[in-house]
Amino acid sequence: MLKIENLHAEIDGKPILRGINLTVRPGEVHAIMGPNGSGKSTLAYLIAGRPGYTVTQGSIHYRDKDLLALAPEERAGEGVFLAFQYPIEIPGVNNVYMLKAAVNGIRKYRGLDEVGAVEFLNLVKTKTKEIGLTDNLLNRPVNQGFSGGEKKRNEIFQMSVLEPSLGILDETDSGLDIDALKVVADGVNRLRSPERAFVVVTHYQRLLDYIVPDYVHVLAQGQIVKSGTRELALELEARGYDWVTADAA
Amino acid sequence: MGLLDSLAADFPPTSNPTLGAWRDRAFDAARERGLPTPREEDWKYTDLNAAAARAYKPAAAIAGADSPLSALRAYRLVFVNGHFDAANSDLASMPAGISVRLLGELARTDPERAIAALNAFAKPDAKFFATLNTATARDGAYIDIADDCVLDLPLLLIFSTQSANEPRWSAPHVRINAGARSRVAVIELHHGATTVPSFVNALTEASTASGAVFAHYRVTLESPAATHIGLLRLNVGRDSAVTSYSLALSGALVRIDIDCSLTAPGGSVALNGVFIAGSNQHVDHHTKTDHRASHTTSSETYKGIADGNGRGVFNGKIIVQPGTQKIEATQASNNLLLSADAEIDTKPELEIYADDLRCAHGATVGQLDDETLFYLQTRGVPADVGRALLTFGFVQELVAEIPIPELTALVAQQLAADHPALARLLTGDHR
Amino acid sequence: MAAASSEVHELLNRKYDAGFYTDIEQDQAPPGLNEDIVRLISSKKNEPAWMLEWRLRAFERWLKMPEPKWSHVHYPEIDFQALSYYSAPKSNKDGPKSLDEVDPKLLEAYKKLGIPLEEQKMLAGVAVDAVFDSVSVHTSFKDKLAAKGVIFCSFSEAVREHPELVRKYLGSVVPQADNYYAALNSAVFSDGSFVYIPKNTRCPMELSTYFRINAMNTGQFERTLVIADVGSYVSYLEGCTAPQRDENQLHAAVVELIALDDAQIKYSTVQNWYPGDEEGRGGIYNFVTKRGDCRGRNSKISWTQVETGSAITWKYPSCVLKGENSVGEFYSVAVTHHRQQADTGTKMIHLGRNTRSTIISKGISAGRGQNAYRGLVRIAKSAENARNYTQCDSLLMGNQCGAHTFPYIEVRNNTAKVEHEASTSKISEDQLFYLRSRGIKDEDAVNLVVNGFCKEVFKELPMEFAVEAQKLLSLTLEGAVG
Repeated sequence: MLKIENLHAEIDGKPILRGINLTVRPGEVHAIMGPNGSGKSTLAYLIAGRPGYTVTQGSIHYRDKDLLALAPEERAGEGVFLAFQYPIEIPGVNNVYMLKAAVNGIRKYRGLDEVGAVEFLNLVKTKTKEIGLTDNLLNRPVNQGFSGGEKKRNEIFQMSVLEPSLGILDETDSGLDIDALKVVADGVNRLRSPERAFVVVTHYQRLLDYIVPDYVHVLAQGQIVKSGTRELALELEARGYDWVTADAA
Repeated sequence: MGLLDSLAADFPPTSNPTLGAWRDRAFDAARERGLPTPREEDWKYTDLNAAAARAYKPAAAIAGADSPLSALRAYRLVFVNGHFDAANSDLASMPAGISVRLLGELARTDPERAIAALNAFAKPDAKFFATLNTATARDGAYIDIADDCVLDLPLLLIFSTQSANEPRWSAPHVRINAGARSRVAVIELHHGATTVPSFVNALTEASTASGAVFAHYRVTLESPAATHIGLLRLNVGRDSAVTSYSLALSGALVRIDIDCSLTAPGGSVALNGVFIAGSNQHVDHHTKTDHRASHTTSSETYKGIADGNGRGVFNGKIIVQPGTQKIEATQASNNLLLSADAEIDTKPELEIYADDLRCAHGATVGQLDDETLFYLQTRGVPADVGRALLTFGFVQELVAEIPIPELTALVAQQLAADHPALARLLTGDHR
Repeated sequence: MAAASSEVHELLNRKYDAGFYTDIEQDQAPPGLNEDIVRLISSKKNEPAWMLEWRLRAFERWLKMPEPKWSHVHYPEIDFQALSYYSAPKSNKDGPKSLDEVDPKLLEAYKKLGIPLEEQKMLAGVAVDAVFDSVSVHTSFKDKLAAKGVIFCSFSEAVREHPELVRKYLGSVVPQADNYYAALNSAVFSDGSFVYIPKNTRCPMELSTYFRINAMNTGQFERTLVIADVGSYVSYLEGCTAPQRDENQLHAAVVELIALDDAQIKYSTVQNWYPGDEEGRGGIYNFVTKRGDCRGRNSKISWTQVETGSAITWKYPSCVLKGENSVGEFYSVAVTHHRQQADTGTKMIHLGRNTRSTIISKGISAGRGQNAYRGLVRIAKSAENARNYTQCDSLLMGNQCGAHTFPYIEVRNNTAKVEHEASTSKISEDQLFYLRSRGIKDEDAVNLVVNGFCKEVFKELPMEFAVEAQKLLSLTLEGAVG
């Protein structure tokens, strides 16, 4: 469903990605690992469509659509969701307003009617319980005054409401204690299905104990230098990154 | 014929020569001072020339029409074109502890007391529009709130301008004395329902006695061609807590001066404001917080939006007088520029003559944050909806603290009028 | 701090260090200002006709201008007819060719001020132009600079030797009629420094001018013009002192900076004019117009000032950011003690795309001093993506002083981002107590805290200036906390 071919990208003339190839099929979970500055977050941002990057070569196709030609919200309409590494605080805009705007934006993109107020609130209530988000957080401005763990939980909550077909988690595990990590993993695992895929970007293999990946890729200096299965992640944990990244240089 | 000539020609006739002479003197004083010009520091960014070039006529009252906040539960006093509208007011059924006298009534029945009431507004250094207001006011309300009076509902003062053809002049004024330990909220709604370029010159003075908790909400919702000059003077007494909100939502030229004096220890004031300067709108706030007594605190937050070719101006001055101690004052002026032709001018000032204090101010001018907009887009929120949502959020942060939902709704409605995407979103209560 | 009061008292009565007077034979014009005086100044300096005409035009304009009154300072009316507009050490009529020709008394005066006129003493490699009252007495290191094509000379010399540069740039940043004092300066300016850095040249050393007012009842009106041609860099330092007198003296200088494409000018000032005594008697009225023009792409002008002296300081070193990507900076420490008054700040006028400016202002008020920051940040419609960050902090030492902040922010382009922050607070008793409890003397504790407060500005100064600035600051603030 996601096909990335020979992707080169730069920011302010500085190359970040230097020929990424990645294919993700429905039902799969891919983990992207790698040292800091290897381009992991850039890859996640490029799939979601963050402005500021220039793609110099290559393509990203999602369900045979040219993703790079679409606006971020159109990508969301296609079913792509990015859980941010640093979720943005939006003073004055409460979570529910934002979610309603999101749900209706996506429905409209898909040619569906907007959801009614009651129906929407019921949906939100159900999901709130699943994730264990308190009503208090739900009615606060988006991420404002949230702890690190609350922010990440809020990302997973939004994902479960929007039910994307491709979820990208950008270092969602960073800064989380083990309980919060479990909540995040539970949220993802609950959504796992034969139709849905995930790309999990992480620095540590710890998260992969809870979200078990089908494939693990190591990104270094803007290229995937090694791919493997779950065992690769364990090996990386034991041996560090140097032995794989040395090849890239 | 311009503003002053037309007012002189149509000066309110009065049967009482003493009152007439008082008004003549006030009018002459205003004339002598002359209309403010952008050469004066206080009017640097606001030019009255176009508005003052027109001739205005005072109007006889016409029957009250619908106004916003019609569903709000409150004790009402309604003025139409500067005249008291008894039929739509609750004058006869004011709650215990509230006493109201009307200028129009006093002028007819007790001119001496009318003069005394007008004199109370006079200050040696009165601003031009304060003087002009007292010279030309046809009606006004003097409200005394008894000690320990706690009101269950807000007092709602509606000043409505209506005219089918001629530009109207109205100069309503209000004086409020809040008694010791009283707790009252006052809403002052200025509303225009006309396409004619009318001129409103409003003056309100409120003083609070010891321990009073007083909230003042000033809503400027004038018609698109109107000029509105509003003055609010606040005197904060000992251990009294005053909150002021100015919500300047519409009008062609809006200038609001809020002068607040903290005159006794323990007093505190929060000055908050939201202004929206859309196309062909000019909105200027000048606030002054004068710490005249020790142990006083003030905080101020103004949020401005300029869109289309609109221009927003904010000038906030904090003064800490010599010899005062233990002062805390903060001020923030945050502004959003939404279009290439809009302009924001902001000037947060500190004038400090004492040292035992903590004062800070900040000002920002910018557009909506790209990163935040992107975040919303990744959730599937279309860019236009995202912008509307963020614009709403920008003011909501401040407005959400108003405990009267109908006022919050007015702000949202005004924004929704400019952003249709927001209108749809705000239907249904998700608060 | 009652225990320390005798010590503090002693410190308070310490004299202004630069307050001596040098008894030199003066060639001084009679008091008063009229067209003849303008002609006299011009002829004393053997100026060409175009220079005289320029002066006369300025004088004509000045006559028609009203004296400005808008600043937050108070002073008695200045009688412009009671001042003398020209004063020069007599022996110096034709300008010294080398140090040997300079009056030894003058050299003595500069020695007292610690100014390294003698080249062998210039370990730091600072080239110095010294302006004594109205004329430049000596410019050092001329040869070394000339080898690089750098012109660093007195303004009078520049008028004679480099008329094409002077005519092209003089008044192009600060027009004659810009303001009352700029017009006055344009008519009667006596001398000053001139700097030209040729294309793609990094000036090999710091350039420096020391200004000294010596004579009585004279006004000092210097003119400084710095031109950094394409791709060049210069760091320029300026210091000022004056003798201690009971009368007020007027100093109305004009400084113009021009940075062309990719050029950078760093302009640092340590201003220590005589501030007057504790009761506010005497002291310099320092009414100065300083403006830099970032005319070229990627150009940068950076102002750093430490203002410790003068009875009244009234100046706004500004940047006009015309060139794309140009950068303006203003770092300022202004101190007012006793009865000193300062109304100072900057203007950042953003005209070009991607222009950036930073303003860091630190005001310190002590005694009965009044200190105002006044600044303008204007983003014109043409200034796409302009950025400004402003931070203004005021420190209060004593309950009879004042600290005021008047920032004007005008934004006409919605891609701009402007941020302004300001704070005012008393010097922290907690910090002082903490330091003293560690065994630090009270005045040292004050110095530590004040220096910390000013650090962001001091670090912008060239090393030897930073040391001087810190010393001046502690001298100025002696006895401020007691």
